[in-house]
Amino acid sequence: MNQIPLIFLGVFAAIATSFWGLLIVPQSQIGQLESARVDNYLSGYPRPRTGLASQGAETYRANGCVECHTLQVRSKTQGTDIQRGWGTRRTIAQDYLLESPVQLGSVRLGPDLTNVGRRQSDSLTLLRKLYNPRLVSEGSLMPRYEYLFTKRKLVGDERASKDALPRDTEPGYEIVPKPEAIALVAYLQSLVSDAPLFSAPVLGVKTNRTSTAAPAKPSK
Amino acid sequence: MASHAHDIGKPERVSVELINQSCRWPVLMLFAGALLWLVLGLLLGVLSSVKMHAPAFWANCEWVTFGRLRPGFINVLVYGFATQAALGSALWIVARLSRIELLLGGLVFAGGLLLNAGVAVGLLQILAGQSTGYAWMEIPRQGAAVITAGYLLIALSALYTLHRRTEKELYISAWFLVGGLLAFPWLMSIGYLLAVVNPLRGVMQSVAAAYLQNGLMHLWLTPMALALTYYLLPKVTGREIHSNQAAAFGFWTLILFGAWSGTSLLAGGPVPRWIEGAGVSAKWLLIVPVAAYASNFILTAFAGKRGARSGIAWPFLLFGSLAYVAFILLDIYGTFQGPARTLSLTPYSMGVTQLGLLGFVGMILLGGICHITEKVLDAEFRRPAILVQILFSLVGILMVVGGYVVSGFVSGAKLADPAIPFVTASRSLLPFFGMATLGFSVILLGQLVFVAGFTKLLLHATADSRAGFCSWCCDKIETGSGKKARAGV
Repeated sequence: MNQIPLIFLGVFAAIATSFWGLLIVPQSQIGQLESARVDNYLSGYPRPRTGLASQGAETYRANGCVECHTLQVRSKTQGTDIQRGWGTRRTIAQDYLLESPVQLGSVRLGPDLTNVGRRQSDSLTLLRKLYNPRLVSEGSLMPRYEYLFTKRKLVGDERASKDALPRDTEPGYEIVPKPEAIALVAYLQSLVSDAPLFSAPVLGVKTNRTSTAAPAKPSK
Repeated sequence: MASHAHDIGKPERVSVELINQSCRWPVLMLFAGALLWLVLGLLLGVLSSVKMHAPAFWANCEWVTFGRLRPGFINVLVYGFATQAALGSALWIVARLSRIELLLGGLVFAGGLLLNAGVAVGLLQILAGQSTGYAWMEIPRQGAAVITAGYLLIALSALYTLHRRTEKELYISAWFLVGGLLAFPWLMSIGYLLAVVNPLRGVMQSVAAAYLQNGLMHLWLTPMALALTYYLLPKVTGREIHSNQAAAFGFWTLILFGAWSGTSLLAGGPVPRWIEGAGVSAKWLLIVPVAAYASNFILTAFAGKRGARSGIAWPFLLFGSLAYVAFILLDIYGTFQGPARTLSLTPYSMGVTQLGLLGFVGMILLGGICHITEKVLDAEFRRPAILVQILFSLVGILMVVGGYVVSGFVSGAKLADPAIPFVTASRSLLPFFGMATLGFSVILLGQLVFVAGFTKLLLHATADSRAGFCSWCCDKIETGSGKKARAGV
């Protein structure tokens, strides 16, 4: 008996059923999510990322930050993320609605960055961290991103430019962040995912009572 | 050889020597490419591993930043080495099982060129900062399309040869080969179309990418490795496979549970629990095909009277099969609720991945390369060199996997206490990262020794044609100068 058609059918059935179960069915559930109505988010949650922050997302992807950092907060039963101050609640599908690519990360060689915009909003600190992480966190194993900066010799009596990192190089030189570094910092500052949602409430904070999937009824 | 009147138009059975000869250059081309990428990939692995414990090393060059080196390393190993070696082995096994010469060999050359070009372009794109951001598929769409095109040409040759086989019944290896060959293009399409080219909304992209990543391991590389083992085991032990039914059962359960286990990679992540649950349950059920394979292996190789287990591939098959069982068990262990609290998102998963990719698939494919190269060239590797390769690979893989797995437990235990700062937890991993660097270096050394032996065999096999070419050149030069002498110049 020619078994090849049988094998073909079997492989096709396995892939087709798993494709249906793991991709089509979830797509009908969470692929249709819309922006959620949340207080303080005028255009809905999640807030669309624009300008420098969206350019910074490209820098994040291009330099493979996902190899060391995650962008997901786990629930209290699954880890100590919340106790560590990495978020006030776990992240859910709603938080990633407008992301592309979605870089959840698979290993934490560095801390989780989902809410780094809450923990560290000072641009200078973030820039210095990128230039030489050991300046900001002693003992950190993060690589230096020197190539995101330019080291310029100051000519004559020239003063350091506004953007330059203070004090981090010998006199007569300045370290100026390149546009990619500034964009990346803007992106990191935009990383906040702690709006209380129906499916992921924050203890002690009121959420809007509608779920994200149902359309809001107009109030009288 | 009798020709059957009712088989007019079907090729007749061909001698083993002719089959080996027909496979020689297509298969060796793919093996040479695979070994090249293995060496380059391991080099990238050593470099990226160094950066994990020496972060200032070579930090001012964006082409070799850790975030680009590491995906380059993984993609080169998966597409350049493992996929290419699997295809080369598949071609030879198919020709031998079909008992005819390899057909459409020209397509293999074209496909091999495309495959290698795609990997090269893909690697350069990753190092230039164009990674897609998704694990095991960081090569951008252009490189991936070229790789898949190259793959399709090679698969066409394999499947057409199988189609024209003289032996109607399919040996179990052919089942695994057909399964794997059919799965690969499906997986690439689903992953790339839904996560990169026309991305689904939000976290569904991660689901599609996880489907591809998991599928590449369980539906592509695993079947190809098992096909190789099921073919070589009888050669090496002199006994038939203990149970064809168990092997077939293992095939169907592998395909079914492998396909459904994709979302186990997102366990603990921002997807509805039932999606994780389906994936994790299917991952646990992978113990079934593993048990079927392991029992077949043990009962074929070790049961009964002590037969000779000889043949160059035997140590590779043994180590690779042990690694397969360990890989699945460790993978499943990491999904149990208790261990997952400490082990998830630690380097534990990196160790499990290396165990599956290098320990299981890598070793079995290398064993296949050894055995098949000897057959198609009708030559033998020098045994001391192979011994060095096996020893170094074994030691190196144990160091890498052991280092990462133990570091997962150590780091997980520290991170489970919120009072311990993150930097403290990550610094405790330094010795393990150092061990991994050493391990990768040792593996690389072992493969360099093997590649030297492989090159030597190739040079020896081409000695006649190279000498012929040299004397042809010399003749041309002589007749040229002879003509000039006669013309009185």
